[in-house]
This record gives sequence, C-alpha cells and structure tokens, in this order.
Amino acid sequence: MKRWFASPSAPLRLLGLLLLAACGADFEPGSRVHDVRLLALRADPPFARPGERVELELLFANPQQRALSWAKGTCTQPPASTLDACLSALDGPLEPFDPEEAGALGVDVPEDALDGLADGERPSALIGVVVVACPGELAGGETAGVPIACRDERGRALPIGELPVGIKRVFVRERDRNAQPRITRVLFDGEEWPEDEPRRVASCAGDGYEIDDCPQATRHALSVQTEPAERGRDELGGEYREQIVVQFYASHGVFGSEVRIAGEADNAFALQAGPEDASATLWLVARDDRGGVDWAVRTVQLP
Amino acid sequence: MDACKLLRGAAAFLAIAISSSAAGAHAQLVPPQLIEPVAVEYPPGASGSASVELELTLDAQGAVTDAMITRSGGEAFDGAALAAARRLRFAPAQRDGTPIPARIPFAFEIAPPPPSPDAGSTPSPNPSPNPNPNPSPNPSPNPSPNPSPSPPAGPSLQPVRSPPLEPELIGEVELEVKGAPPLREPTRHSLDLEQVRTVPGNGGDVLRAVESMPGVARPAWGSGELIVRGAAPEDSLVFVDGTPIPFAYHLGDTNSVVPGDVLERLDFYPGNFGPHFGRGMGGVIDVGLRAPRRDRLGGLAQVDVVDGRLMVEGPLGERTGVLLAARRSWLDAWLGEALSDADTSVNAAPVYWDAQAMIEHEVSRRTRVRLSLFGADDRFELLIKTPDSRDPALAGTIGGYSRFLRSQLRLEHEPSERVRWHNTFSWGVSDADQRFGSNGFAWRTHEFAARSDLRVQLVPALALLAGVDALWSFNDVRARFQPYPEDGSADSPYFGRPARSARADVALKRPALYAGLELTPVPALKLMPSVRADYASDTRDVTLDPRMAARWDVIPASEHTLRTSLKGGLGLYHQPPQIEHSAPGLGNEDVDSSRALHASLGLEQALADGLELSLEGFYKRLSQLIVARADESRLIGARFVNEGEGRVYGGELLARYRVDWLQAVLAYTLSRSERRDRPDERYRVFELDQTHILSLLGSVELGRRWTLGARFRYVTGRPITPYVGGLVDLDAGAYAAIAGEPYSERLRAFHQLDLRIEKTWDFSVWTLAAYLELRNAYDHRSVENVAYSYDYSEQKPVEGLPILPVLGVRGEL
Repeated sequence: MKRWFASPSAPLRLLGLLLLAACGADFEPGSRVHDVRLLALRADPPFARPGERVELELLFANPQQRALSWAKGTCTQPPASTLDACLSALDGPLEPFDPEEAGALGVDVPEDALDGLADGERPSALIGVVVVACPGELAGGETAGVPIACRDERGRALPIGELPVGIKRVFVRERDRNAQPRITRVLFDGEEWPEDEPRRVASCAGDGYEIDDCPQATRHALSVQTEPAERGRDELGGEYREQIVVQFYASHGVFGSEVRIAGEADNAFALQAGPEDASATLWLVARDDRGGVDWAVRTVQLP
Repeated sequence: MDACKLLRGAAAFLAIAISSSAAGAHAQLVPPQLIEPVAVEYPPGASGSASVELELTLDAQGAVTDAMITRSGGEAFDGAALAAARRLRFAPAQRDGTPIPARIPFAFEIAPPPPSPDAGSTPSPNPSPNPNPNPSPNPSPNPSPNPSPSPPAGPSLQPVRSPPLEPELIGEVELEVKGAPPLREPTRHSLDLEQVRTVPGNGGDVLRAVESMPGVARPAWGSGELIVRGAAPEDSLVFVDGTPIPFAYHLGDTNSVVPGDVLERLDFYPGNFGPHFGRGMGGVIDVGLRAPRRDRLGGLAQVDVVDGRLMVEGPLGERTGVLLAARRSWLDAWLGEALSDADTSVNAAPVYWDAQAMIEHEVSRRTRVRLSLFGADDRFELLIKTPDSRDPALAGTIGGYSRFLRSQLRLEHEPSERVRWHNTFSWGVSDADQRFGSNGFAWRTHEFAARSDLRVQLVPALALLAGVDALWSFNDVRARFQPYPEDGSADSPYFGRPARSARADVALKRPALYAGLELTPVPALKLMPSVRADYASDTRDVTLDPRMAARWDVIPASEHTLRTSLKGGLGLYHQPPQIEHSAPGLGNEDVDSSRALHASLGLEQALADGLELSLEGFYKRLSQLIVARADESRLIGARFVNEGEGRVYGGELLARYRVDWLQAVLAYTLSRSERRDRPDERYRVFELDQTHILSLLGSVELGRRWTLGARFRYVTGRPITPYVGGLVDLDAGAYAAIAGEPYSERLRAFHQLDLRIEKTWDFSVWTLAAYLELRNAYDHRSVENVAYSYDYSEQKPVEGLPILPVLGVRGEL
C-alpha cells in the first residue's frame, strides 16, 4: 500500500497481483471452521470514553468440544494500531480468565486516556484487548512473539498455528460512539430464519472448496441483512462513510463467498456433512470498519 | 469473485496488449553523403604524408558532432584530421526518407601542400612529393557512386572516401544521440531501435527492450518496475528528451506510453551518468523524439484486437515537418463483459490512450525549433462485491485512472562547429485518482521544467559543458488511508484500523546547475570531470555531486588491431524525498535527500569483425535512505527518517555479434544488493535483489524478408519473507501475518524462451508485416509469488503465464 503515493499505477498492479494470487491458490476456505477459532469480540460500546468500563463479549467456535484454557491482556495506547505493536506494548503479562464468567472480559478505560495527546494521535487512541484460546494448559514462555505458551496433554508446546491469538481495538473518544452494525434479518431460501429454528437440508457429498461442485438441489440461498452503514463527520473533523461486510463461517459446508459487502450480502450455502455429523453450525458476522460487530448463529441439520 | 475467470481475461489482455505494437517494417536506409569538405592547415613542423582513419558521428542534419581516431597517422596529423573532420558537412542519413543520425568510417589521405609560387629562392621546409595543387577528390581505387565535390584549391588535406557506404554499415553501428552528445559516460547503452523491435517477448515495444540490458532486473509480474543495478524502482528516472514523465508503461506493465514509431533514440544509463541528469540514484532512460519527415507525406495505420493506432506526418513548407499520432485501446468494448460476473462488475474496463503531436521547423542550418505534445491516459475500475477474505478493506471500487500531458518546446542552436546550445522547456499536468474501497487518493501535479545545455569545443583537446536543469511542481494531494506501514512489516489487514484523511498543497522547487569538462590530452584518452549542484525546497538544502568519468582507447581500432578500451566512473548522486516523505502535514519537514556513491570500471574489447565484448564491475554505496517508522501520532501514521543504508556490487557482461544475416546479444549480470534500516543493524538482502540475470537474444535473416528471433532469459528468484503463522485481527475478522526472518528465502528461478518469426511484404507505397510470437515456448511455469492460506499456516507458489502464441499485423505507408 505504501508505494501508491510514488506510483500512480500501483492500484492497477495491486489488482493484478491479487488476481494472480487468488487464481494460483487452492486452500481450504477460511469459512470452514473445524477447530478452535476466535471469530469476533464485541465491545460495548466500540468507542469508549475516558473513565468508562467497556464490556466485551466473545464469539468463538469449538466444534470438537476441546477443553480450553484462556488468557487475556491489554495494551493501552500502543505505538501503532497494528497487532504486533500491541503485543510489543502490553500493560502486563497475559492473565488467565474464564469467558463464561460474567464481566470477565471487561476493560476499564483510564480517566486520563486522552490527556496530553496531540491532534495527530487521537485517531489511534485505543486500548487493545488480547485474547488467547489454548487447547491445553497455559504455560510461561513465548510463541511466535506472543508472550505465552500452551502445552497439550503430552506437554508439547503448541505452535502458533494451533494457538488462536486474537486482538481487538477499543477506540477511545470524547463523544463519538459508533453503533454496532446490527443484523436485522437472516433469510434462508428466501424465508425468514429465526435463531431457534434449525433448517433441515440435504448434504452435498464430498468436501470440495467450491459450491459449484455441489448439485443444485443441495445449494441454498442465504441472505443477511443489516442496518444501513453510518456516515458523517467524526469528533476529529474527518468525514467517514462506514463499510460493512458480512463474513460467513460454518462447521461443515461451503459458501458461495466467504465475505460479502452488506447490502449485497446474498450468498449460497451447501452442507457437506456425513451421517456422523448430526448438525452444522453457521456463524454470520457483520463488521463495520470502525470496530463495530454483530453476529447471528444458526443451525442446519440433516433430514 | 471468480478470480480465475478474471485472471484468464487479464492474461489474454496482457498477452494481446503486449503484442499490439506489432512488427516494424524494415527501413529503407540511405547513407550520408559528403557535401561540404573543408580546407585545413597542414600541421606545422610535419613532413611526409599520412593516412588517418576516423569514426564520425553525424546528427540528423548531417553535422559532425563527434570524431574519434580509429587509425592514427601520428599525433600531429591526428589533431589536424580531427579539427578538419568537425567542419565536414554531410547530407544526413535517412530512413524511409526521414533524416537520422549515424556513425560512419571516414579517412583522410594527407599530403604536404605544393610549394608556394611566391617562395622565391628559399627552399620549402617541406618539399612535397606530390606537386599537384588540385588533387582529384576521388583518388580511391574504389570510386564512390556519389562522388563529392572538388575540394577548395590551396593547401589542403584531401578527404578520401572510404569504401562505399552501404546501408549495412549504418545498420552496423548504433543510432546515436542527435544534437549535443552528452559526455561520454562510461556506460551508456544506445539501443538500435530497429533491432529491438524484432526481439521476441517485447511485442515490438522499444522501451521494454531495456529489460534485456545488463544490470536490469526482471520486475515482478504486472508491476512494470524499472530495477537497475539493485536500485529501488523510484530511484530510476525516465525522460523524453530530458523531460521527466511519471510512468513509462500503460496499466502498469503493457505497452510503453511513447510508441517506438515516434522515437529516434533510446539511451539507457545503468549508473555513473553525467551531470545533466540528477534527482535520482538508480538508472536513467532517456528517449528522444524523432523529427517529422519533410520529404513527403507518410503515415501508419495499425489495428488489432487490443488497440488502434494512427500516425500521419509530412512537410509543412520546405523547412517544417508535422507529426500527429494517437493510439487507443478498445479492450473496454469486449473485456468488460468477460470480467463481469456475480461477484464483480466493471465500472470502467481497462482502457488506455496515448498521443503525440510535433511540429519542427528548421530556422536555419544551425537552428531548429520543435514544439511537442505527448500524453497518456490509463483507466481501469472494478466494483468488487466480494471482498478479499484476507482483508475486507479490498472491496468496493478498486482502480481509477492515471494520466499525464506534457508540452515541450525544444530549441537547438549551433552557432558554430564548436558551440552547441540546446534548450528545452516543458509544462505539464499529471493526474491520478485511485481508490481501494473506502480508501483512496487523488493527486494532481502541475509541473514546469526547463533545461539549457551548452557545449563548447574550446580547443580540440578541451570541451566545456554547462547547463541548467530546473523543475517546479505544484501538487494537490487528497487522500483517505490507513496508517502508512512500517518498513519491513508483515501483511496485515487494513479493515478496522483507524483511517486518516489528509489534504496537502505542496509546491516543490528543484533547480540545478551543472558543469563539466571533456579533456582529450591525447586522442585515445577522454577525461570527463563534472559537478552538479541541486537545491530542493522541501529539504531546504543544496547538494553537490562531483562526478568523474574516463575512457581510454588503449588500442585504437585499425587495419591490424582490434579496439581495446578501458572506461571508468566515480560519482555522487543525490535524490530528494518523495512527496509523502516531506510534504508539510504529511511527512517530516526535516527529512533530507538520500545519497549514493557510484563507482564502475570496465573494459570494451572488439574480438573480431562484428564481435564486441564489454565487461564492467560496479559498486554503489547508499546512505541516508528514507525509512518509515510506525508513529501514529503523525497524520500519515509513520515518521520518515534518513537512517537507511545500502550497498550494491557486481559485474556485467555484454557481448554483441553482428554480421549481415545474424545478430546476437548476450547480457549477463552477477550482483548483490543489500539494505539495512538502521546503521547498527546487519545488512540483509534487498527485496528486489536478483543474483543472476541472463538474457540471450538472437535474430536471423532468412532471406525474402523472413526473420527468425529468439530470446532466452534466466533470472534468480526474488527474495521473500516467509510467514510462520498469523494472529487474528478481531476487528477485520482476518489474520495478520507473523513474519519470519526478513527476505530469508527466495522464489524459484525464472527462465523462459520466447520465439518469433516475422515476414514483411513490400508494396509500391506501403509495407505489411506480420509476426507470430511464441512466448514461454517450452511452457515453463515460473513462480511469480507465494500465496498463503487464510491463517498463513500453509503456502503455495503462484505460477505465471503458460505458453502463449501471439499474432501481430502492421501496415505502414
């Protein structure tokens, strides 16, 4: 991204590289969740005021029902809004916590969080919240730059690929709030799909990565509708126009697209489940680009 | 997004687009003809006769701009021959009726003058063995079909026509700089434009031929970047007759923005260039627009599936020529439909155009003025409804437009044979509006450039060069973006990070002065000390660049010897910051220019008739490189500091062989380019380093206007930073890569064979050429990049294009 100032044709080259990369690869889609995954962390509110307490709610998937140990930490006003900048400026060691416990994931914004910040620093005034899901026992040490280790039942230190570590930004503002991008409706084959009503569908054989590999009869229309994106002028004087995307995840099955823009979030889903899989869980996550998030969870079952 | 469908369309577009320059018709060449011999003083104190052979460089007006002794007749006679040679006047060489510069062999047979009738009883100190006061102008046993006029009576040197000049002789030498030749840099590659059009893989595009020169690395697929001797792309500069242009290729990596049809020359300087170029630390490409023809009306019409081109030129009076040319792609007529699907719609299908207009007037034999307009416009915009799963910010509108227009007034005045004064004034606009989803930038620049170059041959052994090179630009930048990434940082999503908006109005003033000498203490030795002083208003600093170049013809070419020359250069090169580094409110106001020290030493050896070898070693030391440190207290999200350093070293080999029906070029570079972001860090390999760069080109004339060509390339894979895993960005719902050791791995080496066969038909008033090119003839799947899974736990190579047949057709009046 950084060379677009110096090179007028950079975005066109970026497009070319994206195309080349996308067509050359054939990986399992990120929408397929078959092990522990951190999917979302909702801060209420996404923009917090100095002195305020922010409660956070975690959405995670554990389709194999593994026993998990959790750790959390914070970074207050890190040098940059990147994840590695937060890890380099943690307020303290990562501490164990139980996500089932009420208020376990809460953050207190310091009263003086905005004091002394220059105008240029205010857009990045934030507290980063770090969450670690260890499918084993937490231990001291380091894993790929994360100051914690996780050991399985055999005492093996898990590599970073087996240790989900997520970071969320809670922005600090004097007045702005930012509403969550609320999901208003979920439609399945054109009909309203309430949360407590599983849908029974036939399964597509195999576990291919493309929905086009599934017979038409096993493909179902899936649509997620959200409230309109916000736009306006923030307290820092900048114009903003939110972008909202909807991300699709499932424990079994394949989607037409992994991500869709809100307002164009018509998708398709085909279940890929064997007889041993009684049901599949779908997680539908709507995010705006200012830290807001909402989600809906649905279930499909074999007939 | 059906990316594969998109890619197939893009690949076809690229393959056909690259071909659209098509075949160039073989030119009808007419050699220069001597029209103005001169009378010269017989060297005082000399005796006897001598034969002096020279190599003359002629400009497009037929004036001698350079003369070099190829076979000495002795120091005194050499000096006199050189002085005489510079005053010779020729009818210029022509290609298809258009005057062109050329380089020719020439010879003087020097005999003592006849005794003066008024000498009295005092015997002449130099009794002449040849009493004929008016020798025949053609004493050669091989009389020329174009005999020169009789020389003036009196003491004179007798120019003797060397063996008849044939078109092959002209084709044998490089098309040279017209007008004032710059100082003879140790390394300047002047490309034979006619030859490069037939090189396979270039699609006939002249500018792309630079990629086959030694020292030039292969750019990443689709980038079109110019990487010269291990330098970053932004360190190298592209000029059109001394006027800088913002981009050289349409849509990043297709045809060049100035077609070869309107070019007269292409000079490429990989390093150690002279003082007339500055504000860059890498290499320089300087192309020259040719003069419109004045003998008759001419033109070109070319149509293919990608674009259409039309050119018309001809006389406007006896001394004025006009040229108008334009090209527009029409991929948008059909590619848009091909790229659209449920996930993607095309807001603006890829389209480009470029145009050139020139009017040149010969005010007198010594003064020419030319007014040119040239410009280019690229546009491509998609609406991506399916964001990239690894960064949802890459959605919505992606693309935009980039364009520029330049007007140029060029005045060439040569008040005498010793003085040459060239002036170029240009004004232009560059405009870019690019979007990446909710981010984007718009940048408009008004630019005024002025260049004045004076060359004075004070005495035969000393020439002075001096000049002014000034650049003013007025920039209006508006942007919305996520914070500028720190150098060396790994991929991470932008979605969910705090966006910034910025607006900057920046005026940049960058004047420069330069001066140099060309010393020729003996005919075979040239020493070229020079200095350039630059001022940059954003750094508020004056930089001084002393430079030195030398060339020594250890063994001049002669009937019994083959030429051996040594060349070398040492110089300092400063480069001012990019606009985002120094603009008030965006960058750092205390950032300084970067600096490079260039050193090179080389050998040129003629091995046999038509076979030449050039070896050159080079070393560059880079300092005060601008690096970005994450600092989101600043509007752009980074702080720019001059703490980077670099070093580049290596060697280049260039071998050329040419006979009537065969030409071959071997270009090989062995080099290493390293950087560090802090003075106390260890050096690491530069991200664009390519250890081995090999190009082997050849073309064969099969007769009956059939030509067969081939190009083989081998390039070391570029360094990459492996990713060892990822962290979950819970705002983006995507992963941020965790980087391993920076640039510790490399992609697989690239190698490819391109073949070409071409046939030309000559008709009474026009020619038709058609060619078939087979790119990647043995279907080797090179690795262009590495793709990662969504969590960076797996990786797979991304392969380039497969074997591609390309067909091109072109007709020319």
